[in-house]
Amino acid sequence: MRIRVKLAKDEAARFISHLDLAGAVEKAVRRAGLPIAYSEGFTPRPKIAFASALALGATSTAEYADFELRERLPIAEFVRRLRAQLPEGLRLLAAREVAAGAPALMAEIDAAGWEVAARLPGRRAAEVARAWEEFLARERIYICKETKHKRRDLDIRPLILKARLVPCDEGGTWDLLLRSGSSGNLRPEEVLTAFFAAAGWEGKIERIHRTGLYIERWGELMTPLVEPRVPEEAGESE
Amino acid sequence: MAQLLKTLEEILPRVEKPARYWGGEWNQVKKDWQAVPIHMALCFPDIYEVGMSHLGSKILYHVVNARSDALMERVYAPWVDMEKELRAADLPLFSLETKTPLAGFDLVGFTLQYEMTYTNVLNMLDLAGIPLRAAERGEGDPFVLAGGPCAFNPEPLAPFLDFVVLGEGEEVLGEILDLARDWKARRGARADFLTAVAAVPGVYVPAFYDVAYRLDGTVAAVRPNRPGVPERVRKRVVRDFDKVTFPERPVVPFLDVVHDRVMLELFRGCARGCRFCQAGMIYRPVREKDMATLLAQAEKLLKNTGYGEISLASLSSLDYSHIAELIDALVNQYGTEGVRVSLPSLRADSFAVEQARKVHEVRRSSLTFAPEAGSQRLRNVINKNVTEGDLLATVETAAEAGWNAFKLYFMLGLPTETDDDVLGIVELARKVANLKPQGGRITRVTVSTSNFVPKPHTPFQWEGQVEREELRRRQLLVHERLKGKRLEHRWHEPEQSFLEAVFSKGDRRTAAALERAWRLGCRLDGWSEHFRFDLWQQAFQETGLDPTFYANRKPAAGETLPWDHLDPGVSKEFLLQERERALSGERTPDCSRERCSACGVCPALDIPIRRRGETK
Ligand code: SF4
Repeated sequence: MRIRVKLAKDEAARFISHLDLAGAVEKAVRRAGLPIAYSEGFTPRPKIAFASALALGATSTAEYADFELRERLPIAEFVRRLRAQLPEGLRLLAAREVAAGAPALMAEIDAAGWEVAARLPGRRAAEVARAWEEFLARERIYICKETKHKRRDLDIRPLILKARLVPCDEGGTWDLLLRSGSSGNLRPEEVLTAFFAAAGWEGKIERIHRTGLYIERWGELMTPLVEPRVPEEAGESE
Repeated sequence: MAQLLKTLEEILPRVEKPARYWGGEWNQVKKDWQAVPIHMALCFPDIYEVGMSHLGSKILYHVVNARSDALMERVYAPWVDMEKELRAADLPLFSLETKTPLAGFDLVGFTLQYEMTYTNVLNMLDLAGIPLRAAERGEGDPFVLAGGPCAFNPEPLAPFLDFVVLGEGEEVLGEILDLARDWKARRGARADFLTAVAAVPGVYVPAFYDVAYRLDGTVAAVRPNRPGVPERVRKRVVRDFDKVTFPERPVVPFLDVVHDRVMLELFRGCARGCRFCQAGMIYRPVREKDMATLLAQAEKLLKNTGYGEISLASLSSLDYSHIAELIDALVNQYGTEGVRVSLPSLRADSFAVEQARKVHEVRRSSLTFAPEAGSQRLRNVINKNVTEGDLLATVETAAEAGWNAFKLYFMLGLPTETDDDVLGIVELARKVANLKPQGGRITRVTVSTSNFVPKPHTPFQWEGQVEREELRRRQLLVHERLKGKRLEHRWHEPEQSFLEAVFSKGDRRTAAALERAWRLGCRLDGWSEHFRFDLWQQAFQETGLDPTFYANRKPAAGETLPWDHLDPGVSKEFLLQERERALSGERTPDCSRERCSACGVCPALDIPIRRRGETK
């Protein structure tokens, strides 16, 4: 059976890298004695698959992972046993069974929600709010994306799905919903850096927190734990 | 602390692997600081990934934290990027558990595993704001102590250490903590504690000993400078190793560390008697754990850590009396749960291959053997009881069983070595590469040559290291001839080995060069990317010390050695006799299997002489 869980990565765990997080969860699963399935081959790995990686230093209340079990286990028991073995700073928030043949989590994610706190020394709240409005009102916002071999300019405006700012003197807190995954990928620090540059300000990102990961189905965003509902007309049109 | 945490959170996103400095790992012990009277920091003078792989530290952490009246927290050497940040932010070095600055502990203990970490000791003290020299520390400063194998000649660090612990820490640390607790409750003076601790067997207070030198630079004598201090400090050992407390809940790191697995310690000591090996002398005698104890420990360790691998960690694990049964039991019990068993090192015999076969995935791993010398003559000199025939037969069997990559470890510059011996390495490697195993093939033979470093308390303590240029010539001799499709040569730079020899055999005067080198910027010397030999040479020059006096000179048999007042139990007569036997190519058998070779340890420590596997 496949169980999908939602985890929180708190302050205490925020410096565990994505790769190390997978290792820590693997060990927790073994300590919990859960009947995890192993991959074939010379070095069998437990079948645990995470959704998209979180940058080192960021916190999150929306880390998702799929666990493949060799035998059926009541969800409540799985949750109880795993919870008892998670290290400080990792919290299991929710879990449910997903269909064994469901596509890989990683490939499904389309958007991510973020809360970002940044400091803008010397700027008044009203100033910050005005500059942000101007920034968002632009039709196109170009940033320079550097991949391994090439640099290219990318218009990120369409990748910003929603954005709300709570300004304050010397900075503010941003609520962002950004494209993430195969349908386009925008990181919150890229948005803020572009904003700082557009305003001509020195800014400093202080905290990044992931608030959600979303899958897009029939024009709707839903969390990986929600069973997609088939809209009435969808059945025919597909 | 709140300020420290805030600054730390700002710094960490900028450094490589911030988890090295963040703590919070599974099984970490975080005690209520106020509720515990004695606070000790366990400092490992190398980076987190190396320190977290050290079994001895895990044991001490467990032993101390098992007490209700003491706590122990971990501190590792920061990598260069973190050091820069700490200094820029004026942040003192702190412990992982409670982020307490090092200077706030009562005891600051270093484990000395390797001479090339000595500058890290100084650097860590400096980063902590603790006065470097013991003489400069005042009331309120922590006591700085050290233990570990290098503590058997701590003289190069003597001025920086308040005291040194000889032998097994789990045996003696309890007494030290008792004293510290009572002393602190009494609000005693610093000097009182040192006097008290100097009376604990196994504890050496360098300041209580004076060293006199002769005109030729050799040591005339090392004598206590006050009453009540022993002439010689004898090491401590755990007598009943089977009953010793063992860390059942070791800290599980988040980072991928060097040995990220369950470490099962089968026995202490090694009786093979290789004459270059310091561990073989200072950890005597051999003491085994019962198999039932080991199986019970393995079960708890796996359950409490979640590791997918158990490593059988001892100096020569295959020498364990019931090794075959132990491996079978572990593989049967845990193999199906995706847990692997690993053997860190192998002897060159078919038994070893048979055992390796049970635990290794043949297609992926290579097998490692350590013939150490290229000729039978030289192997007799060092008492490495393996023949060319053994090695070839073993490799052949292993290749037939499916292995096709082999690593061979050798040392260059061993006493009496000639070019014939050096060329013997090449020949042996070629013979291995040219084996024609039935149904198998050998695709790669990696030869690794390190440089011999004479170590205190070994039969070779009277040897000098071969000069650097000569070592380089011998390395090249191997290198140039070891060309071939399936052959590969890895070698160690002689400069690092040279410094290792200086500080391995150094006396108190070398402390000045050590401090100077550190001030010039030397640290993390064990990491070749940070090793600065030019700075070291400058340091020796500026302090007027001749490093070759320590590294290359052969002390006379009757000479007082800088570490002679430190007693590992093995007698000097035995070491001398072993040296004679070495030079005449006579072998000495394994005392745990054949006969006692009268090294003196067992009677000195009042431990009954016992063959392996004999019950108590
Ligand atoms: S006294 Fe004898 S048995 Fe004991 S360690 Fe020495 S040689 Fe071995």
